[in-house]
Amino acid sequence: MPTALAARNVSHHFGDVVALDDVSLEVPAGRATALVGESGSGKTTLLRCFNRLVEPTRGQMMVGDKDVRTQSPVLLRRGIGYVQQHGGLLPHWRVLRNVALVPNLQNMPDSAEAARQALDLVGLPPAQFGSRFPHELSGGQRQRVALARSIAARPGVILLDEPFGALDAISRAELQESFDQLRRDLTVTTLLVTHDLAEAGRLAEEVVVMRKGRIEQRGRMHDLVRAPATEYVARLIERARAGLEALR
Amino acid sequence: MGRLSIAAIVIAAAMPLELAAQGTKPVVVASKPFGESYLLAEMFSQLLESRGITVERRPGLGATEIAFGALRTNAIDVYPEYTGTGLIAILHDTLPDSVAADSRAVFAHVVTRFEELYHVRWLPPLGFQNTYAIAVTKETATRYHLRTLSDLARESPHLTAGFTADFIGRSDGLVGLSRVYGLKPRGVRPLAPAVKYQALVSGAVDVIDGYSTDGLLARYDLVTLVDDKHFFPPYEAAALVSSRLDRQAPGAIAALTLLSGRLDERTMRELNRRVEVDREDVRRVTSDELSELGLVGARPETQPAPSAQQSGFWRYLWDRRSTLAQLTARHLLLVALALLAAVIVAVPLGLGLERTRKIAEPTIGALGVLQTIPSIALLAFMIPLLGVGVVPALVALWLYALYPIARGTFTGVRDADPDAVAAAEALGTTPAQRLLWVRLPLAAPVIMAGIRTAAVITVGAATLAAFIGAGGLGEPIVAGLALADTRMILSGALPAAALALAVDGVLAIVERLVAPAHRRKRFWRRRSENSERASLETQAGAVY
Repeated sequence: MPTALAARNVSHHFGDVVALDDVSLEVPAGRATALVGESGSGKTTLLRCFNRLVEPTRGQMMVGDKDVRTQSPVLLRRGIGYVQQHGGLLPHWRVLRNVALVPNLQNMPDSAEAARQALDLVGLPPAQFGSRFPHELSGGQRQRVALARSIAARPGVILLDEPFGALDAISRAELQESFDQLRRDLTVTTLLVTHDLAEAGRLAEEVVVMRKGRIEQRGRMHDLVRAPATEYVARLIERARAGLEALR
Repeated sequence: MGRLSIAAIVIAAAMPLELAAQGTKPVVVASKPFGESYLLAEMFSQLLESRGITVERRPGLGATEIAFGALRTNAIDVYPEYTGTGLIAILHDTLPDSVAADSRAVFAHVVTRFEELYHVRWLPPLGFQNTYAIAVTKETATRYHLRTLSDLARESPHLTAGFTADFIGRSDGLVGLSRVYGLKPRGVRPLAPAVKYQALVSGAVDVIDGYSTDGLLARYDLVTLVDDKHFFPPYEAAALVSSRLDRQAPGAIAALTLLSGRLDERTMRELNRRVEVDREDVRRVTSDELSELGLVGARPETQPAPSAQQSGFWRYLWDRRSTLAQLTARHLLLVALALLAAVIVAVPLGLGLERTRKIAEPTIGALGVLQTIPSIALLAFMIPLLGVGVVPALVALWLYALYPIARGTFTGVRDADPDAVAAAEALGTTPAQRLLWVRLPLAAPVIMAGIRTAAVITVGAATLAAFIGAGGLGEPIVAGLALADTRMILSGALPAAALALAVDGVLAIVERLVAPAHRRKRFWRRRSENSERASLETQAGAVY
């Protein structure tokens, strides 16, 4: 059963620096939302508030119908998938054991089986890849394993922080495609942080542009392109378009 | 294995070291690390033994501070000391010249003051003085017209001095000599007692500090300069006795007093020559002399041992193999106990510091400062607190071992794959799980490298433990230094070096074994991986 996400009037600062300034956001159950912005826009901070890696100074974070503060961070995180830019696989664990991490933490009866299914879902046959060490894989394969690890326990929510940012263009495109398919099949609620507008448009139903800790504009990609609400959004779209023009 | 059982093993292993000294408490006879002190201590020991008193020998204790510190705290019971040393190096008293020149008056003074201040007793003097003898070669004396210390001071800007560290530091040594005579040598080289005569004769230095009873003064035909300003106080040799022995063992005191007034300077110089020049065994020289003095029954004449001089070095080692094996075992035990205790403390400390990073660097820095304290000084600090023997040595070695282990643990755990640690946190592992599953396995080689460094340092530092009577391979080194016996020094130093290499080698293998799975040596991996992969594939085949 997918879970909805919500942030209500959330503010956060690191010392004097304002990272989030009264942000409110909902991600409907089973849908994908992308947070777009440059570094320092607060997008990653907002993402990390959902699994309590950051405790916001003010405001309320909801996962499902529960305030995140009603659950211990450890238990909360076990129920939420998470992928970071550099996959963060445990280098001394073989692939299968890495993927089985969360099922094991949740004491699932057959965690190895859950891990094998997850590997299959990301396109890595477990018989071939399960017993390898992470350093024996390509960068794209490693990110696939990280993805498999985040969904192995079938969470209702998955948080992704620049998950494909460190990959070459072809691997990135392949992985984006696999991921899009995967999250639809599993109907998992997805929140994706990216600085790449094209990726946001390809993977998310709703795009949220952030700048200096505030939401600049939110809506479908189509609407953003047609009617940018601010100068900044217009410039962002213009630049993404210029990137594509250069290929002609 | 739980902490408790480890502690139990440590205690059980340490027992035989210290409990040997319990029961009917033996008289602990010590000496300072030079030949004459060894000889006199051996005389005390044999005299006591001939009266049926059990003796424990602790020869070669550091220097004056260590030996006297041990006596004051009743860690040892008796050692030979000199009144001048007591007056200046221990009491720091200055007496009017008229009194200072009179050996009887000086003796009376130290007896009273030691009783007042330390409740330590001087037995009546043995009968000879052993003052500092500032010596030069005959050629140097002729060339610079040197007869007195005033002459020496005049010419000192042209001369290089080779003095023992003890002499350089003492107020009745170089410090006072410079003050009273205006001595300003071109350079001062600190020399070990064992090499100073060699250094003088070979011309490496021009002037040395000897003792007036040294056998080598006569052998090399050296000139002793006259103390024309009467700077040196009388150095009358006597037994210095702990308050415990004085109170509890009148028999021992009576036995020791038998030697009072029986040794003159000529006899002592002769005995020193037999030990230092002729390389005769200290025990043998001692028993000969005691029976000559009629203090012990004549020893049945045993076969004269083959002179060490004539047989080769390896033969020398072979003859001493059982002693060396014991010393090596003792050395290893000291190292193992100190290291184990250091691991038990420093690994959790390093882990704790990783979680409180603000105080991490200052704390580790403080441990690093400990590292810079010279071992001898650290050992000397231990004596008032812990006496002499195994316990203070273990504590000192333990302190030295803490730094590399704590540093290795802290940096190893701090720098362990930050991405993996962050991901493990985001996926809901507890801090303890991250420590056990991620940080420790990844940091293991770095921690092990710290332990390995500590182990090698400890093997080396443990040789110095002999200075406070803890035994081990330092024992022949200290004795050899005192008796100017190179072979004896090597018989401790070579096994110690071999031990350091062996320990390093063994721990290098351990370091490889604890490497995280993905970094283990190829041949290790191939085999285990292949079998594991095979079994995984079978499982997978069963499912699909």
